Amino acid sequence: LNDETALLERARTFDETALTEIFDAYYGMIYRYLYLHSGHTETAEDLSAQVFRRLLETLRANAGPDRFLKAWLFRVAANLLIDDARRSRHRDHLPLETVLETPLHSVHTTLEEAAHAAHLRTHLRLALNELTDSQRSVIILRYLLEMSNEEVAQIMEMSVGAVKAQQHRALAALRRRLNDELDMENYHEPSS
Amino acid sequence: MNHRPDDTHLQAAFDATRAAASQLPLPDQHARARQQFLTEAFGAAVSPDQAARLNDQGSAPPVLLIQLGDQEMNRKPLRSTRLIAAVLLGVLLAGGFWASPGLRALAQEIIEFFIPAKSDIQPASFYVGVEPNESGAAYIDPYTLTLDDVVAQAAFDVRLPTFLPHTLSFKGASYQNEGERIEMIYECRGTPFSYNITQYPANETASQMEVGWSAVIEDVPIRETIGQYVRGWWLLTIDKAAYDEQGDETGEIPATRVWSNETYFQQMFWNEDGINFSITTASGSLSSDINYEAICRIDRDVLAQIANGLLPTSQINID
Repeated sequence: LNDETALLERARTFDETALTEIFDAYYGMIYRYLYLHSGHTETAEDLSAQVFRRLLETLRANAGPDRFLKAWLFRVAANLLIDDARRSRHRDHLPLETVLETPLHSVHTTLEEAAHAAHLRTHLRLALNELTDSQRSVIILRYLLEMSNEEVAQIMEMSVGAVKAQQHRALAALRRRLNDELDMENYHEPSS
Repeated sequence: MNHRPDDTHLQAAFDATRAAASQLPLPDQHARARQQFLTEAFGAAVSPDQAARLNDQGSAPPVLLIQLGDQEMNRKPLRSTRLIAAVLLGVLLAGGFWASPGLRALAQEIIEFFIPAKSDIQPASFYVGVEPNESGAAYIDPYTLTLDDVVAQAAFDVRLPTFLPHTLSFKGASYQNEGERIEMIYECRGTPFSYNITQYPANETASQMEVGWSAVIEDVPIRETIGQYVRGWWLLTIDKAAYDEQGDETGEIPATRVWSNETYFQQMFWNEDGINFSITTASGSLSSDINYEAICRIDRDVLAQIANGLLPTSQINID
């Protein structure tokens, strides 16, 4: 956002235009971040609302960020994810694809493509689940939400070097897992 | 993204997941969330269109203060001006059931500010038109003073709110030298609702209000004391035949007052350091399609927060 400091100043006075601008700029990416982490649209919807509620509470208290709002919002989202994970440790979740499939056929030209894409997503999802929370966040922010290393570093409150190190290890783990599983499937396919 | 050559599967999985996620949130979900966000931010500051949409999702039914027999008064197509006046007067009449008994209750641990009636349905009367002003003087809006004015004029240390929800904004204040009574009106932005903060030294009398038999009187801790809270109001049902018979004439007609716990009207009373305090719903829409309660977002706990935030001006640092 242009002149984020000025925008936040206006938001602190509960300027409706400023708050709407902030919401429209960040809601989608916060939602997607939460969705990619949790794999559930309901969780994403619920936690996204909590992120922006937290923003309002902070603004009312005349506290919160003077700049780097995006990083602040993502950090709140990450904390909410941790809390939610603690609460829902024993909750049975729908698999990612159950939620994903309905709205997503339109991006694929054929059902075969859609099925293949769903297959890839499932494998990536399973592979992401095997990463540490920090590695998963780096991958989601860097490769799925396409942020720069500097942005990821700011959100995760670590150095760019540390982000690159996490990224390196995470990519290696994902690559190994996906290559093993998908190559194995391709190997078996002709005989099935 | 600087993947290595053997990243075919990984790259494809990233692409597929990114493409899927890019469609989320769905536009209607984003719009709903934005609406919710703005409602939480402003409550009353939403535009009428937004308020109407909010009402579509709302839960509380609209309320009527005055009903005409079994016919809702606001739907009567004729005499609309008189009906508006009637509704406003209804508020005044209902508020007119105040009593000022002696301060015997002050000796008790918890002051009983609300006196339950023997039933929820009682005979009453209603004045059609505008009641004649005994002095003949033109109506003057009494709430023309600023907070500085009332603080300067009052003979006691006036308390000012240090906490107010964002839905409320100061409209005006009044000071009655007789009784040393100070009233401050705060409007709920974008709605016809306002709230009145009243304070006056508890010299000889303490206001008490008769509430319905079914009214729920709740004790609310306010600093070192206990206040009382009631939600509800008397609805006036006017005898239809008498109303029709009245025609365009002004005058009193028979009515029935029925206590309803389901209205937006709220009242909180307490006594502290020899001063009587109240925060009450001062005005509002009694029949509306809009869920103003959802907009104002003021309930018992918010009133208690306002009450706890009232501090003597001598204790408030004013820059």
